[in-house]
Amino acid sequence: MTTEKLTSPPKAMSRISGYIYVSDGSRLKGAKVACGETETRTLADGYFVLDALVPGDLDVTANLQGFKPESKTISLHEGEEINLDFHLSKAKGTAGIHGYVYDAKSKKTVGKGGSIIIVLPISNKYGSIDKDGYYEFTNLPAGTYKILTSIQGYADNNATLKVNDAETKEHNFFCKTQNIEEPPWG
Amino acid sequence: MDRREFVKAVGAASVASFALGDLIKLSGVKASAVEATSEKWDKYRVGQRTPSICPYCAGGCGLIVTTLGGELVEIEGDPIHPINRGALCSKAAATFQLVSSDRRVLYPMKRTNPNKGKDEDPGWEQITWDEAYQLIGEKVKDALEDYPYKHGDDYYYNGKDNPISWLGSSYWNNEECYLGRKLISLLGSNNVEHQARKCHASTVAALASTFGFGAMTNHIVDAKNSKCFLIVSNPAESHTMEFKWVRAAIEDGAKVIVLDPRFNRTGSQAHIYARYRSGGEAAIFLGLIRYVLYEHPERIDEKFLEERTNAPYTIDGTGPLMDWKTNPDSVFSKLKALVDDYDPEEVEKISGIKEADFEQIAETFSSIKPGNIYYSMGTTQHTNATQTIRAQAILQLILGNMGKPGGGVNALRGISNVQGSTDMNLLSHLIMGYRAPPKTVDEIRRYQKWKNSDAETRGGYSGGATYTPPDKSTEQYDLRHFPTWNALEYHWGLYVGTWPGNDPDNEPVVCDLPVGLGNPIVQLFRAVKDGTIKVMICNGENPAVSVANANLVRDALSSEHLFLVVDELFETETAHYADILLPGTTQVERDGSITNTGRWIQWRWKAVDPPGECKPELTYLTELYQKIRATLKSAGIKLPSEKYEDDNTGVDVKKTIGTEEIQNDPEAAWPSRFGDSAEGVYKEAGAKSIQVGGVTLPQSAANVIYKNIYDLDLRPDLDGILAKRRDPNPVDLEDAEYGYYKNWAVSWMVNQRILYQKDESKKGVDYFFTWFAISPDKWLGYDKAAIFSKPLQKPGKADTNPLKHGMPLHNEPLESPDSALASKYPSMWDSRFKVGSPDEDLIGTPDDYPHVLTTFRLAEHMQAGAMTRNLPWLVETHPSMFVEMSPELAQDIGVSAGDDVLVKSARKPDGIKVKAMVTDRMQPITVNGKTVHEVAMPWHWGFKGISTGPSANEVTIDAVDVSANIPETKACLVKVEKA
Repeated sequence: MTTEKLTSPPKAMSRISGYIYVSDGSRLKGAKVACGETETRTLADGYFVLDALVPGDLDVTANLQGFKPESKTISLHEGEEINLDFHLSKAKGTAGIHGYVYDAKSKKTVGKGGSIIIVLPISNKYGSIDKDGYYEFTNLPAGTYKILTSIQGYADNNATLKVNDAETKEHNFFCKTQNIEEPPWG
Repeated sequence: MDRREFVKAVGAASVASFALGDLIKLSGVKASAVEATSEKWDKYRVGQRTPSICPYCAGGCGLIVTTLGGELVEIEGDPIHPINRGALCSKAAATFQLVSSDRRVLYPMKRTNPNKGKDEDPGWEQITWDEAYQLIGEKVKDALEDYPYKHGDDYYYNGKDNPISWLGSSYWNNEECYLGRKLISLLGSNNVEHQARKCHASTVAALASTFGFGAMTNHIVDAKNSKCFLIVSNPAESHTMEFKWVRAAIEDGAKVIVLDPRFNRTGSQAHIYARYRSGGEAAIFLGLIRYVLYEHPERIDEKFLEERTNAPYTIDGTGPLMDWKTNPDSVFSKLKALVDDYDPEEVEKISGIKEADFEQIAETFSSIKPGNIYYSMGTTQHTNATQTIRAQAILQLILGNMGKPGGGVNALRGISNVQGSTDMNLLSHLIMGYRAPPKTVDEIRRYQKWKNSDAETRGGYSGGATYTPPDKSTEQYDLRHFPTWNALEYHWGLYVGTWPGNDPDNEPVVCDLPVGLGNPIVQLFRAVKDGTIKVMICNGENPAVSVANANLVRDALSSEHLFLVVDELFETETAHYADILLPGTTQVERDGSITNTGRWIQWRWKAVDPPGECKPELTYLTELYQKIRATLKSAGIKLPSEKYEDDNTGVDVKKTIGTEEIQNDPEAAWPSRFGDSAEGVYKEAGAKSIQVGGVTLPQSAANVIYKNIYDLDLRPDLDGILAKRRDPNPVDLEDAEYGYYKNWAVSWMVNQRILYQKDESKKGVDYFFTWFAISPDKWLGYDKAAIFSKPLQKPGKADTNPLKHGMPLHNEPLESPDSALASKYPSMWDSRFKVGSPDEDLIGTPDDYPHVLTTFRLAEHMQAGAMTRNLPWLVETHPSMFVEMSPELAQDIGVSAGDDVLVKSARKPDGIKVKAMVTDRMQPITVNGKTVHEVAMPWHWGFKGISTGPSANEVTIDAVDVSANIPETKACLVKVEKA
């Protein structure tokens, strides 16, 4: 006599979807939403879908540079779809970046204004260069930042800097002059 | 009759529907088709006729749209239109399919796939217009959240660092382009570009600095007056109805010389055809100048040079010299010395045109007058294009071929309203009418003083510090730009100046126009990649196919941080990367004016309602602006003048003109103070005289180039809209002889049909407009064309750089096939005068990439293929991408016609796979004693549409002309090998 060995049917996949908002009600584009090894990014309207999830107690995390990450734990059952929204707030930190901008050839500070730009996913941070060529960013969350210079008469320069909490890092730029030929006007 | 003949006959029938009966007999089609055709004929007979203008090339051909009960019945040529007289090219004949296509985008959609890439399905989901506007407003607000409006004590937005960008469109009407420029300016950004940057930016730079206006000097019909043509283009295919008038001249005995790397349809009509190496254009024209100056000085129009150019002066403005023809210090003599090296032998080495052929070309063109130069991308899309076009212009000045019927330097512009969109300055370095935006706070302080000098009419501070120009150069600059800023202040509801205005040197600057030039197209996409641009609103443009080094553009469009909005007729390659896709309308679905390559501003009337949820672009612009503005204001993001008021309690920034107080209120001025319609915006752009508070504005037209195109006194029956004039009758004998058509539409400036023609009947602005001072203290006055160009002189440059001399030289393309030539004539782009792009490791060498690639257009397809590759009639005529090569090259690499080949470049090392078209149209050429194989690809293809294929611009190079920022799409090095 033989008996059939019974096997359990595979668990039906489940999904989590929802929106990610920021404090003023805007919806966040490009935020990473992860659940275990499954991850996705939000659409322009803040919507995300995590598909084909194995049911169980799951940790879901949403984060984007410049915002405090948020995690939620949910119980997801077989074939279930759960709506899960996140409300992220802007991250504030204690790190800083500062320095001087120099003319690469003369080694003198560039004292004629211009901007320093920290590139962030949604809204860049902008700092001005004062008459002494000095720039400063404060209250940055720990992280890695791409920084660009934008100064009339000079080629754009860039750097990637990592700062930890409470760390203030100095970075000086040495910018080459760039004579942009202005097109004559028609 | 086979299928191909039938398709052609159908196309012909759409031009002349009275031939429908003949078509039925010819085709032998079955009864059901006969009945369907009869039904169409019945509708056509009783339908309503509405005039329009073709949406394709910049010829400006007239269409008649027949509708019945709101249904489109037929589109055919307008028989009374002076340019095409009822005829149409294949693209125009297929316009019916464009309007009625079931492939059109019909409603707004959002992307549901967060991943972007060529192989990623966007997962479009329909949304409402309100949802789309809400999302766009939100993203603009988010991007501008921390964007500084204050710099020290001064209030303004920096135009270059602004994270909002705008692209397009040369397919839009003038009024829509005007509002597009207005909208992006009101967001504080000069990151605005469109198709013109990639096609004729070098024309604007070259002709503006030589003549004053950067546009076609004569016009299309005027070609019939020419006695000799020098064509460096392919108008028989790309501007078919323009070539009709070249044919008229040929029938009247005119001679045609065609120079082209390919023996094309235009070449087949030439009396003299010469093949040359793409990249050798400057040497050819410098050689022609040399031929006249040294071999046939009797052909120089000395009177013209003496009276109407700066030839008799020194380069610092001393003169006119009595002995200018022999005095070594004269501009004339310096030019002569500069071109001495370009004898026929040298021209052959550089360009590949044999000495004997070159001499025949030079002899023919210089001996027959009036001579006409027709050119387009073959000249404009190079790193030295501005200089080459200057050489063309100087040649025509020397020969006295300027300012007369049949002469001229005639830029054949590519898209139906690219002239208009350029005039409306959807460009990063201009704001309106070819006037620059404010670039520094010092300029704004001078502007406030200028306003104070006539406070009553300019809205200045009565009794405040007035304007004294520091020198002639600055004075000419200010007088050129300030009146337009003043007009925009009024028309856009802005404030530009210092506050309160009586002490401009020490008060805060308050400026609602963006300050500083923005990023031109190549740099713009690098800024997207860098992350400084967060939002791109792209309308009626397909940069994923049309910009050189297209894969860099596609990478940029795939950026996670970029919010991309696309407004289009079809899902194009660029739309494939969008977050929001909006449904655009065709030209027959809305009213507005467009400007053809000959500067004719013509009206096109709405004939049918747009399908689905498509909105006329004017409506889209207004709703978009209103939503963005409301969203920004609620977040405290406002105009700099409004922020100044917020920061300074009790201050109300405003001005008084005459007796009227004008608030800074852009909403009140949107879309126009003349009303909501296209006519209203037209009037604002081109007003003749506006009274405010009892005084006449110093510049009434928002766009000075368009002044007086709105003239209520002249044509009250048309509500003053001169673009609506449709009288093809000549106004006098001169008009009849030369084909001005002065009562048809209106041309700029002030209906001058041939620019610089002094004695044109019923003339408008008739003088050379080179407005810059030749030295800080010397301005030669108007009507002096510039052989030596002060703005294009940078004395510190190397001898081999034409910018040192202020006059043209030859320079090799950045990727030259000959290293000796590259050393002797270094590219204007190379490391000694590098500006921006491209990245060093994307530059190829002849050892790795021995073949020269040029690109070209087909008659049956349009630009990046966004429209034509979605139309079955046109796809049938040219269904797939290919590369043309000579039989010799095919043999060298072991391919036969129809084989798959790889075309590789430093930008695309693994190459694009296309079909080999082996043809005698292409031949090897000898460059500096070495055999060079040229290959050619059409650039219409991409991965969307009925017909798909790789894009030629995946391999082209985006090195730019330093004076115009136009990419060198026409010449790069590739390697073609069997796949």
